[in-house]
Amino acid sequence: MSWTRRDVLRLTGMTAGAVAGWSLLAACGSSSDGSAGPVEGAGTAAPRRGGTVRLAFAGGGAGESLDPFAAYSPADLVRGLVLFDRLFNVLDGAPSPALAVSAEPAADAMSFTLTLRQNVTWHDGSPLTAADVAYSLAYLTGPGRTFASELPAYLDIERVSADGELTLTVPTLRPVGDPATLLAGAAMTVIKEGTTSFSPGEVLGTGAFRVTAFEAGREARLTRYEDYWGGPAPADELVIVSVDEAQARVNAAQGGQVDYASDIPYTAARTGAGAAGLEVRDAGAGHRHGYGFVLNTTRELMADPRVRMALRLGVDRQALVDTVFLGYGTPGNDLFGHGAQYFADGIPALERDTDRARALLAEAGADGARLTIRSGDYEVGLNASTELFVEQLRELGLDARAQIVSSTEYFDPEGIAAADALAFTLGPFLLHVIYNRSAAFPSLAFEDEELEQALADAAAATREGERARAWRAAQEVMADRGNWVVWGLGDVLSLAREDLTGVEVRESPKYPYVGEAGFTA
Amino acid sequence: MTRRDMAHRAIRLLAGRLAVTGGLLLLLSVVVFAGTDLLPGDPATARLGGLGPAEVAEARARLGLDRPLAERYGEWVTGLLRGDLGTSAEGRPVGELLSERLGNSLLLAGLTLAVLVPGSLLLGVAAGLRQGRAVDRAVTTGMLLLAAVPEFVVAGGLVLLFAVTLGWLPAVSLVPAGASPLSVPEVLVLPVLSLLLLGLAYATRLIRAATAAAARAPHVEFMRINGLPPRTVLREGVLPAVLPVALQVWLTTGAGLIGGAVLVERVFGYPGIGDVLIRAVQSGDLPVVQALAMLLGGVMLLALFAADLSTRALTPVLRTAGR
Repeated sequence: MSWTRRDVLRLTGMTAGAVAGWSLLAACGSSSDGSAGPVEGAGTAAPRRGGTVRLAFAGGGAGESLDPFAAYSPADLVRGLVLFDRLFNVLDGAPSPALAVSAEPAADAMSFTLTLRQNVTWHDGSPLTAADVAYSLAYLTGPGRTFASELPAYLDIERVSADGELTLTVPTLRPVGDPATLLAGAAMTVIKEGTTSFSPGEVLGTGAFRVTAFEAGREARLTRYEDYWGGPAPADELVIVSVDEAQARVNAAQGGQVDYASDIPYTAARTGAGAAGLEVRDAGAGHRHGYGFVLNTTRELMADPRVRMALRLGVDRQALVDTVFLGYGTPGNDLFGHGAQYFADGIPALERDTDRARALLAEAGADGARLTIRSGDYEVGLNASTELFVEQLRELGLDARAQIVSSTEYFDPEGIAAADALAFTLGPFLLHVIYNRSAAFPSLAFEDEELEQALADAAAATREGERARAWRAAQEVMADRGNWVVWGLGDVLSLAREDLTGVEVRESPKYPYVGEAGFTA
Repeated sequence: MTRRDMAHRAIRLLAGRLAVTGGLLLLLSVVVFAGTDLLPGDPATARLGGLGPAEVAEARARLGLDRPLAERYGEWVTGLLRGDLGTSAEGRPVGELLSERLGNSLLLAGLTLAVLVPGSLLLGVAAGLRQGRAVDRAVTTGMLLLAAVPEFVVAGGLVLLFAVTLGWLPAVSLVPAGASPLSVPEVLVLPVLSLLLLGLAYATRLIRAATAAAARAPHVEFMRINGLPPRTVLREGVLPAVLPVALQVWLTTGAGLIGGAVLVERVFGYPGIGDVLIRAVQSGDLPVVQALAMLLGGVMLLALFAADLSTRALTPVLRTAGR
């Protein structure tokens, strides 16, 4: 018996489908327990000290690691956030000081001074020093690193120097006007100088919790670190379990095996909490994930701004929101980055206007043109949205086709280059992260002089007002003629015990900060 | 025929079968390696695709994915022969990655077999001896229904009933870090039950058919007419004909259980190789996929080899026959 990759993928797809079907079955059976809608902003009351909080996240299987730089799955990221600290966190879409208290750019923006927080200690009691930060930056570019970081493209890491116990000078390779935002967006985490192993007995962090037991793909047990610089955490112990199947996370919460199930399916939310003492929670409007399509302007068809506008006018946003999010979301305004600082909220979502869309297509000579939209099971909902979008484009007379690939080949550069559009989803990352990541992919990038100028201005600007103006200009370009069709913003839902409090969204609601989690009673 | 002749014959037979199994394993290795390699997508695109084409090309070169297929295959096979399963795309030895989880999957398969062997024998023989009667009809219909339902539906149904509705057993097989699943036996019940129901349906049906055929055989008829007690007829006449078939069924079912557990493990979040396989497939971690495919294929081939030999050993006519 030998399995091919395709077989298995089909099978896993089948399970996902079957599980979804089964949760629908469950929906029919248990609709009587009054399915109130998701509670927004729940769990903010002050927690009492003590207790063990058990939280379930999608994991990374046997490949999970305590190395914060190798974190990919939500379980990895959640653990990393409570074991280690970052120089700057992302809070409400803006950078917020953590281990660094300030990052002051030089007048020419070609270097910055990083000042570290005082009285921070590692889990063995030793103090945090500038040498630890220098070591962590150098770790990014060490040999054989397989993780993604954009920092080496900005920072002259070899010339970083520690000026004192708690200050460093960091030269840059190009102007960096807002180093705090750059470091926050890159999730720059600090590890102790000389760290080479991240095994449970040896790993040291500065975070609110330390590891007592860890098994990749299964569970991590973390105990409170009493001398945490932010003050001791409320919970005695955190248990972070990896449960990959979303419906299984729901079952684990309903069966009382965990107190919190992260990122639950919309179908499960429809059925309600499903057990006494539980509630479905909504991460909040500011933390929605943007879903859309990135148009490939290196293809002849999509290079025409009239065609791009026609697609944006032709998409039925509400229908997609109703079908893909089951209504748990709102239509989008074609811009990624909703919830981030400087996001252009004021730009309205376009109304569907098929007549104008058809006229624009005719003007561009693109009647009945053939176009391929690439999608993969990279994130739930991408494939469904692609199939519906294809139908909507067919209504405009276009010969649209969906090209559904596996999550492995989804990001294949040649594949993306050969498709006219790519289904895409993005959380509320900082704007510079979003715009720089898309620029790295020729077939996802949007080449436009005005946009590039605005992005360069935003990166180099050392003053708040200048930055806000530059970001406004960049987003106006995207709204006017850009290559994004962000049709919707989807809620991120979780299932939690009603008395669980303190789960805080920082960068993404899919991997919140749980260091302040605890029970109210 | 002398004892020595028989020994010679047995050795020749064993050697022949081993050669065939070895050849099939080699063929399997080619199919697995080339098959997984030809599919689009690789660890570089899966992990670093989001960063851009330059990073993908760099990672491909680092992982050696840009070298010719034959060269990589040769390296892989010689590694396999030395017991080296290679290094995963994340840089960890595949053997280490699989060893503990393989143990967990074997535990599931072993426990399932421990119930499946007596269960299927009892049900199959009971139904086969009472062909056409109420017991037989009940067993046959029940097993047919079970066989018709996909495994994840069975697993899902069990969770819905025993975990979500009744709350008797955990819905998810959470095993504490550093502990064996045996330390939390309640998490094993539903996965084992799901696997058991599927294996049982298949094994019982085959054993029932073999029993029914044996019960109609002339030598059994003869024993019955001569007034031997039913228990003796069963022991001396029916079981010797049924057991070789049953053994084959159990061996192949057992080997199938290790691979078949993939979906069941997924539904319960059980820490076995199923989860490793699915994840490796999704992240394009070819060394892990290849090692697992070889392992599962190899186990199946060995089970067939053992089934073949044991059938011959248990069947007098075949035991003394030439080939």
